[in-house]
Amino acid sequence: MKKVILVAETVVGLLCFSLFLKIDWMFSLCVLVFSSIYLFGIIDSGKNPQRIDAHLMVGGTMFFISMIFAITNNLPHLEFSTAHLLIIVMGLVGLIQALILRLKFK
Amino acid sequence: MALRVALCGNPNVGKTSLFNALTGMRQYVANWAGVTVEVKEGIRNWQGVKIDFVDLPGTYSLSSFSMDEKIAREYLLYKTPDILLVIVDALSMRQGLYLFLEAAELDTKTILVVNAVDEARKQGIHIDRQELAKHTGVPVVLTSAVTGEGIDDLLDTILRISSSDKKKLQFIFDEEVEKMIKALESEFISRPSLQSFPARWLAIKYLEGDPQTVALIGQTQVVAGSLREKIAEGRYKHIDLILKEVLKTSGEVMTMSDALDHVLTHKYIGIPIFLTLMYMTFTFAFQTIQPICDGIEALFTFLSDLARRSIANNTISSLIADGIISGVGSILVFVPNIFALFLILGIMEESGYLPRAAFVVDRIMYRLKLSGRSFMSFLLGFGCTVPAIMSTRGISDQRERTITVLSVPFISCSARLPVYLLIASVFFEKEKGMVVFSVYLLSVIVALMSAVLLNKILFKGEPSFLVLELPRYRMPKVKNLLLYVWYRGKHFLMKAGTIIFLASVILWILSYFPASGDPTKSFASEIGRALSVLLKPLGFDWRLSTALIFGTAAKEVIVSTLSMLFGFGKVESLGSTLTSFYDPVTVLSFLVFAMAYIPCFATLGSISSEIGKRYLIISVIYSLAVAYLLALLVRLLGGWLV
Ligand SMILES: Nc1nc2c(ncn2[C@@H]2O[C@H](COP(=O)(O)OP(=O)(O)OP(=O)(O)O)[C@@H](O)[C@H]2O)c(=O)[nH]1
Ligand SMILES: [Mg+2]
Repeated sequence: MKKVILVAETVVGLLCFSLFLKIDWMFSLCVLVFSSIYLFGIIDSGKNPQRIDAHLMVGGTMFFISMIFAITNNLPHLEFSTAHLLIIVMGLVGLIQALILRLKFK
Repeated sequence: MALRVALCGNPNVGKTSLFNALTGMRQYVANWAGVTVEVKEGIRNWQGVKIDFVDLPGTYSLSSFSMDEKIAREYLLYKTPDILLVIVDALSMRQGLYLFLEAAELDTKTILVVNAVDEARKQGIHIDRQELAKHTGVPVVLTSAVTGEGIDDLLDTILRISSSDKKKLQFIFDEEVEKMIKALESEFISRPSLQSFPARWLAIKYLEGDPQTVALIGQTQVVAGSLREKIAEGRYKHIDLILKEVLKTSGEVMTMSDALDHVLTHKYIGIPIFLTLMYMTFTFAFQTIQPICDGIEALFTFLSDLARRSIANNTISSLIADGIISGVGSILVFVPNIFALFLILGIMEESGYLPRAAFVVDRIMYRLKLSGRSFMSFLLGFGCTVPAIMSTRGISDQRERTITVLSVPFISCSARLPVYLLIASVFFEKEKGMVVFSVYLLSVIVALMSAVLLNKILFKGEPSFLVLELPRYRMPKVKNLLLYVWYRGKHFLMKAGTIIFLASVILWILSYFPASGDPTKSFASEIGRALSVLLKPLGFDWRLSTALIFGTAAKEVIVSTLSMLFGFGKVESLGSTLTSFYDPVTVLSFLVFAMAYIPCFATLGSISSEIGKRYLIISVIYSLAVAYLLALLVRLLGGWLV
């Protein structure tokens, strides 16, 4: 189940990256880096199941941060594209993820 | 008479936080080891008794290797307090108790304070207070500097113990060690020069091979340092026995710290994540926040217009409008940027992430023969170079310390930010965040390369050992955060009211006279022209040269100077005038020169007081040479590319 979420979020993250590439290439690189947190979650998951949780939690937080960044940075122009909508969804999902998984650790 | 109570303990256990909670003061607290580097005092009245609290730098043991450890140790030995609080961290008691066992032999009334119990509780660790008091022989207080738990209790305990008799505390080693200690002890007691020190303590330190004690005592029949391992081993064995009784833990789950560390210091994505977060920080602080800065700029333009219109006397209205308002205002415009930058850096530092970046870049640092401690000094350098240089007291290796002190000034302090922002926003409107970020990155690279270079030149590249102290992750406290931002931003504001104000007035005088308002024929232009001969190869005219000269007082003054030299009596913005005067390549090499050249007066002062006058001169020549070379390089590269 968690692995499915990781895969799905990696894919959506990469999609986000390609959408932002034309709007703001530096920010798209940020999205790429954060997507790779999910990606490495899939790779690392073999050894310790709690590592998946760690990747989901940190990845979620990072996407939440990028959401805030994307919104505040775009506030003066007030034009929200599909890319922006997508990052907002990813951010909110990420926040929920982080809040739930936080309880799994001491 | 006031009761003098000293707080000692390992680094980052919360001594200063407790000190603040006890005295109501607001000393700088941060989530990494080596924050406090000086002795600080504060007073509290409790039930009619005046208590004088003393906060000391953190130390792992009372053998002194680094400067700040020496400060703590000297204080305890030569100004022995009435009561000593040994603060240990509830989550790393093993290391804390080691220091306690040493301190207990100092023959002072001692209280053991276990701090951060709130965090221990959260991790399911229970600490048995009675048991701990029984095994250590001193009163034990459990506190949390954050929630305030146990503070009153601590104050009560201090009063109680102050009126009771002193108890002699001794930790007994095994027979072989004890025999040696006894022999030395009786020898020391007979020496008048050692009368004021606890003899047993000296004997143990001597056997441990503590350099200062050995220097104090000289040679005896026993070889100094011969029992170092035995003593440490004995203490740790004892501590482990105590802890087995005292600590009750539950469960085997990955801790939050482990989880975060796994991802954030990941082998492959650790560094990219760090760079990404830094990029976001800079973009936020310099781009997102811009509308607020524009507002402030508009305000100052309005004020200077008002002054021009409402004051009849030309000279005075020029002094106020062109001198003071434009000089000080051109810098205050950047206040929101600076506060925003430090707010985010503060969150990163307080949460424990930034100190961990030291771990991420650890392999690089190691190759540069630097330790995590110098990395923190470099980080502090982004605020102001002076406290960064002070913080090098925590570096135990004298060689490394010198290298760090000489390299830290290359790190872009907040005073240099207005210069970057002015130029970036005029010439590189769209990529402003990017340009400033690159200059910062360049300044880090230059600082690191300078460390390597100095290591090679001055010290022939002897290898250094690596010490990394990782704080744990913590939710940043709003109060600490605001304090942090205020500490960093404060001196910026204060400078605007003092040095920069003064410099603005002097500058105005120099550029108004003798031609009454034509800067091109002023005294300032004479000064600039004299120097611009030297700076000609870099493409700097007399205006830029003048700005650089005055910038040595404080680097913000570069901006004030430019705004004055270009702004006389004009209403249109500095930006449009600048673009008509210089091409981007000149301006970029100016930027790089401003980044690296002579540290400001305050920095030079602290370099000379921390490592000696000789290094002041070295620093001036060295930084000028580096700045000149870099600027020339930019010019050549730029000329070749454009
Ligand atoms: N949760 C919790 N955090 C604490 C407590 N005491 C201190 N801290 C945090 O621990 C960190 C270090 O606190 P400081 O007071 O600077 O530690 P210090 O011992 O003075 O450190 P040095 O001066 O470097 O030796 C800060 O982030 C504090 O907010 C506590 O009781 N509970
Ligand atoms: Mg402190």
